[in-house]
Amino acid sequence: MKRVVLSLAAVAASAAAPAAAETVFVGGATIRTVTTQCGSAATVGDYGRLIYRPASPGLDNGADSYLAFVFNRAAYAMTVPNNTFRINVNYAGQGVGSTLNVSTKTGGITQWTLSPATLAATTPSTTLTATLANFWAITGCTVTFNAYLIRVKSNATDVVN
Amino acid sequence: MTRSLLCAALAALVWGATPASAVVLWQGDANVTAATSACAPGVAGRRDIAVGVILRTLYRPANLSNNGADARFSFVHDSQALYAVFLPGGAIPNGNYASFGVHHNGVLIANASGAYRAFTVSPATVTASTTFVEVMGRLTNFLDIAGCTISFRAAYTPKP
Repeated sequence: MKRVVLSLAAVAASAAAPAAAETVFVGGATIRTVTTQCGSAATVGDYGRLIYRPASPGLDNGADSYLAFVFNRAAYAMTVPNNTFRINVNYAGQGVGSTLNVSTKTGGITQWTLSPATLAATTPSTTLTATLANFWAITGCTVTFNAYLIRVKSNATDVVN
Repeated sequence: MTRSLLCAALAALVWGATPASAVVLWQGDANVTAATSACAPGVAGRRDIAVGVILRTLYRPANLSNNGADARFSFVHDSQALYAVFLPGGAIPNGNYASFGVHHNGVLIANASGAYRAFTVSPATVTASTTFVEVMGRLTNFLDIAGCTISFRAAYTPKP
């Protein structure tokens, strides 16, 4: 566990390097299917804000991609180092639950339907249907969600350090 | 060993003790009462933290039920960023915290840190039966934003 946390910290630190700008896509996401292993952590109809920061060329987002659900009292943040989110790759996830427990786990992306498939700095919006395993860092919890995201272009100084 | 564990398990059943995994939290809103300019660089309105901003917050007191030794707080800004801070040993009013969460741009926050100052909890001793809790304090490096220090006043009620 400690090693995973440290590696996540390293990834976060590397992403914090100064950049000219960044392009993120923000919108609402609805969870459509869940497995029983999700229990009460993720249920059909859960609706939260989804933030996607892909490592696509021209977005000035660096080499690593980030995808994060932020709910009213909890958040689940994921990253794919040196890649974009896509089918058949693994992500590293960190959840901060509504009990304030922090958990980390890697999981697989078994569906990733993004339209348009590649996001550019001029792409105004995008739709996404994705299936993620080990959601909320829970083994066996697989969810499928729909999201409709709008591009938020930041200015040059609007980069997290 | 087995016998003592069995006895403990039976005792828990008989007295309806809290399950081992249970934690006790309070939920509420925090009002930002002061913020440095770094908290609102003014280049993306969705990210600005300024005086008057309301943050959804959770409070998990230390050493209560199975909450563990640390006091924990979380702050959610407009369903866009979450910042959870762990106060070692639940010590107040001052100390250094560890933090976890996610930035406004989706970048995760893992084991970051900052200082907390002038924390007060009212009532001073929170028990499982306490209904209303108020907390004031100051946090540096809020949301892992360099130079961002906020003061807040938060009001909580129990989270079922």
